[in-house]
Amino acid sequence: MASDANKNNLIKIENVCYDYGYRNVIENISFQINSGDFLAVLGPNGSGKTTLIKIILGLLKPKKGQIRMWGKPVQDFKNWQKIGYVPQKATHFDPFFPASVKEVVAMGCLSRRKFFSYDKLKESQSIDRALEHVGMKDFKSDRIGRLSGGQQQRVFIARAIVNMPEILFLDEPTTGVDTEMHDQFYDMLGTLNQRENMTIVLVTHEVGIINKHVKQVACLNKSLVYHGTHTEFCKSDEFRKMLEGGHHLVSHRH
Amino acid sequence: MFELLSYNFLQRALIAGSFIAVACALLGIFLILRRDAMIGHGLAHITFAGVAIGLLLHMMPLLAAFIVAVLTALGILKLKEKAGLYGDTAIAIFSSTGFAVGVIIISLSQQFNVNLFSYLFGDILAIGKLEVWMSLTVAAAIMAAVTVYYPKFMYITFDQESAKVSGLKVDRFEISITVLTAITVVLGMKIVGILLVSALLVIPAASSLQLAKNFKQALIWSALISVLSVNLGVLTSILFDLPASGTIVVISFLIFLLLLSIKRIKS
Repeated sequence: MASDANKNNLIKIENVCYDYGYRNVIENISFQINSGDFLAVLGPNGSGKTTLIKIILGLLKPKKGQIRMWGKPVQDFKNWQKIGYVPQKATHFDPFFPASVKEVVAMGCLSRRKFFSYDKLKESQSIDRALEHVGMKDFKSDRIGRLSGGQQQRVFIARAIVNMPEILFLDEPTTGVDTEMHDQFYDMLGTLNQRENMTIVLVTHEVGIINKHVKQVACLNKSLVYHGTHTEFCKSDEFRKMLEGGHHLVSHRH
Repeated sequence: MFELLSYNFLQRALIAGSFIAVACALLGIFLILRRDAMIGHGLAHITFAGVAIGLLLHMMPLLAAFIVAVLTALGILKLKEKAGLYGDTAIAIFSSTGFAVGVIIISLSQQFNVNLFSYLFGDILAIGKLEVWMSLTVAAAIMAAVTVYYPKFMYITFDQESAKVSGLKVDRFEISITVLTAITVVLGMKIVGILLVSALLVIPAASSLQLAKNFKQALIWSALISVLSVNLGVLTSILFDLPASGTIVVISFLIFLLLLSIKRIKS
């Protein structure tokens, strides 16, 4: 049983702390991300969500604690094709950048491309499949800057899933996406989670995203104020406080 | 006209000029998209110190310029990283100091002569055999590097954070692109001179960005426009007895203006 649990565990966050010199951003956070999770990391603006994701992905070095990916410390981790990432403000790029949709999605293939064993056909098939998943195959030759915010976000998701990673991180992915498109967007993530068994970690400040697809919730306000299942979260004080008080999370419950 | 093409000096100028033009044009795309268009201008000023050192020590000025440009390019990177300076501030500090050092060395060596003049304003028609081979080798190496690695360079230029998560070595790219630019600037200096070399890096690339629908096209168009500008510029300068460097830059500007107008009319 214990070994099964270990096998399912993809990422382990252990006592992580971070500060920007003058103020603490993250205090002693520990939790695990397991295979098949659809985890929503919630918290108000400035609660340390993006910092935590950047620490998990090795973009920032924690002041204390460590991250283990598939059992390895993140600094020694090499299998980056297992990870997909859609950063915050992904759509805030230079709109005149001369890249086609196909070229943007192909960027995601570079983590697995080897100098002497580059399979162009296989790569092209992966790109088509990723674009099909997000419903953007017909836009392959379009310039990325000419698409709407929602379409661009879909292309960035295609880039993140082109290697069919085991885990997909999305930081505030609905920024710039029309509100009426949100449901469709989360349905797409739900399909990836259920059909492809892709683990999803979604960072957002919108409580409204807690929907049928989300299985686990982690609430952050510098420290981890709540971590549990979606169903329990909906009955919890933290959920009520978030709905009533507009994101003022103060209590600590582990 | 065809008679002119049989002259060795002109053949050398057109061949070396075309190779250097392609190297400048390819790198120019990355520099513009990284908002680093002025780095060429800054590094060109610094190469003046290199040329001055070369003339003072009676070594090949082009070689001295290579060394100084590459070392300074790495210095600019370090200053940006360690001192937390904005990129253009670091460039401004190094370029003006480099030029100042060059002026002092030149006055000490009392060699302010025609030779130096050719580095300031370019002298492609006087390019020697050794310089042609040097230019061809370096330019071909740059072309090969960009052709092989452009998808990675493109990813890092477009979205540095995601590129890092994909396991790409972003720091190594920063160093490569800066060093390649330094080398290209020294080559470009031979065609249009220190004072105009940034035009070769920026104008053809800016022109191609008016046309390109994707990144590959941007690189190809930039290279073609650059080669066209250099060849047309050299031939026009001979036919009308004009300075080659100025003519090349003005022609590339006219091409830019033409493409910009076409784009405006179309949209």
